[in-house]
Amino acid sequence: MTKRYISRVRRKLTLPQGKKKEVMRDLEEIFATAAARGESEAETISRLGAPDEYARETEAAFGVDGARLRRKRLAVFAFAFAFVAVVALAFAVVAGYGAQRIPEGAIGYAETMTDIEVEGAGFGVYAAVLGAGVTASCAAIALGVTASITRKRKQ
Amino acid sequence: MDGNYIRQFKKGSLELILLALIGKRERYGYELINELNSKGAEVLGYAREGTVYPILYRLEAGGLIGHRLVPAPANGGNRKSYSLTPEGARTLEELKALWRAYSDCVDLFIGDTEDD
Repeated sequence: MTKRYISRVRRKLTLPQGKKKEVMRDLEEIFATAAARGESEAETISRLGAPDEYARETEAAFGVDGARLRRKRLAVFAFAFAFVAVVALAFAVVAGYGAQRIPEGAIGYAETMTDIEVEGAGFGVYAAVLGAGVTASCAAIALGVTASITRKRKQ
Repeated sequence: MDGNYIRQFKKGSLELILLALIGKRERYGYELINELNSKGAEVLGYAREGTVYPILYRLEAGGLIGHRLVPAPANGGNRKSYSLTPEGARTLEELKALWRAYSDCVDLFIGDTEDD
């Protein structure tokens, strides 16, 4: 019971790292002191209140808007994802384009495409990178939309 | 009466009471809750960690109280022992004066006089 309560608070609590550590330490102290007095875990938990309410009250006490901070972190993550996606896409496009350029003076250079098909590994590296870029872009868009929807719902 | 209104009213005085208790002597969190309940539970309602600890966090963030960690033999960990900072002591005196002036003023208005 105690472990579950504490881990629930730990999951919900959004605070700067040092403050969060301190609050978690205090929670352990509250439970330990109560147990030493012979109080049951259920009694202690009822005196603390619901885990997410305890987390919210604590955040408010430190002047932290937990919901807003969580949205900000989500947005930063989505932005980083998007950045990686753009870089991967750019790489794929440039590399793919470069692979098609035939150097001047190459023997056997033809003006038109040949019908010769080359058996490769199946997939090309560039296709893989392109695929990764597209996936990352979709994930970033999904995260960004989630973040903005969460913001709108709260308002 | 609206429960929320009462809750907010009590929260304000709870900060003053906690400062006063800590001002008298250094205390553990558990002691504060005990003292609140033994003397004030009827009027203030049952004090619990869920309400008191956030107030202690706010008081400490505001620089009014500080703490030191004391080894606790019973539970094998540490306990926080709270004390007033100099600014906390100053604020406590100001709040006490405000409380007295405030209640005198309210008494004046709600008092039954025949001069109305």
